[in-house]
Amino acid sequence: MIIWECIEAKGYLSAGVRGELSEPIKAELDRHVLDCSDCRGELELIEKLFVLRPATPLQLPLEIKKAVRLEFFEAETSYWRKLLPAAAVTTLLVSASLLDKVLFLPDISLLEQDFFVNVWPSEDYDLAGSLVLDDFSEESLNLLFEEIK
Amino acid sequence: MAEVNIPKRKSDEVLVRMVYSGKLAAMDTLIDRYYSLCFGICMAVLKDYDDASDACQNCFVNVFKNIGKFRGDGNFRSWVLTIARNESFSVLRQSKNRRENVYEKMEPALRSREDVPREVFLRIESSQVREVVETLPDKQRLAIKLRIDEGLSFKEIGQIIGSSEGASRVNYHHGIGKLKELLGA
Repeated sequence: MIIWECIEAKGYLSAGVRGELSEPIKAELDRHVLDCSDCRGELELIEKLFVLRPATPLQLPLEIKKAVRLEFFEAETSYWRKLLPAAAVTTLLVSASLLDKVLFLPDISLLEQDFFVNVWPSEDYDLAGSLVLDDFSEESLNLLFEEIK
Repeated sequence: MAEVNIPKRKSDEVLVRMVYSGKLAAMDTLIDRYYSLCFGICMAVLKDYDDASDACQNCFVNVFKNIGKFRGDGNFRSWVLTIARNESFSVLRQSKNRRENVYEKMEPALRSREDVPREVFLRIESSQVREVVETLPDKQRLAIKLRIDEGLSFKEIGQIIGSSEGASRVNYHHGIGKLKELLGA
């Protein structure tokens, strides 16, 4: 059997009132309180104080969960909302560039409609960019001479 | 040190890690675990039902908004206590001018049906105690409420009232002593 001093017993009183003590400790405390008027008086006072504790509102946990979810959802939405203008501008630019390619093709001669036409690779500005005549068919050469005239 | 019966359950740290990985159910479990304690602290500081509910709600919003700042090796309970304290004192500063006697709004909690006759008897006697408690200095009143209502350790009480573990123990015992003296207990 444990012999408790009052100072030790008093340390358990509030936990005892809240029903948080294990059976052996509670039994020991009850035994001490029965024999000790000072601790008994303090226990009664603590019981009265404990009754005064406010009840937690029943809806509170639900309200908290709702508020937390709302905060999380808003945080997530606002993140995507921040990216929205950038996404819109990018889409607009890509669309505009595609439209430009499709609708505004350069006005070129029949000869130049071949996108893969070979040009003379040279550092001389007069020659650079000149068509490579060797690869041209006779018909193309005739067309070219016609244009030069 | 009081011996407490704790059923086996997931630790706070495990739940926090689950929240990190986006599991909302873990967030709910943490709220269920701590809302009552959080409300008790807010109520002890604010003495107003609505203010305490708001502060408690804000506390959890801030807890999860800043969950990234919580270090896994820390104590989640202690972190919640600190945020609850800060929220309460922030609301208290805002509503200092409209403090009223809120105990009329309060419904004392009953634990179970079997407790009713004893609880009713205690409630009648407690109305006298309530008035006397209100005459205590704030630190002593808070120490008593947090210790008895919420079962906080003296270290945790010190964290809330802004004093050392020893000082909060002294505040509690002085408060109890004063109540015994005033009530002739």
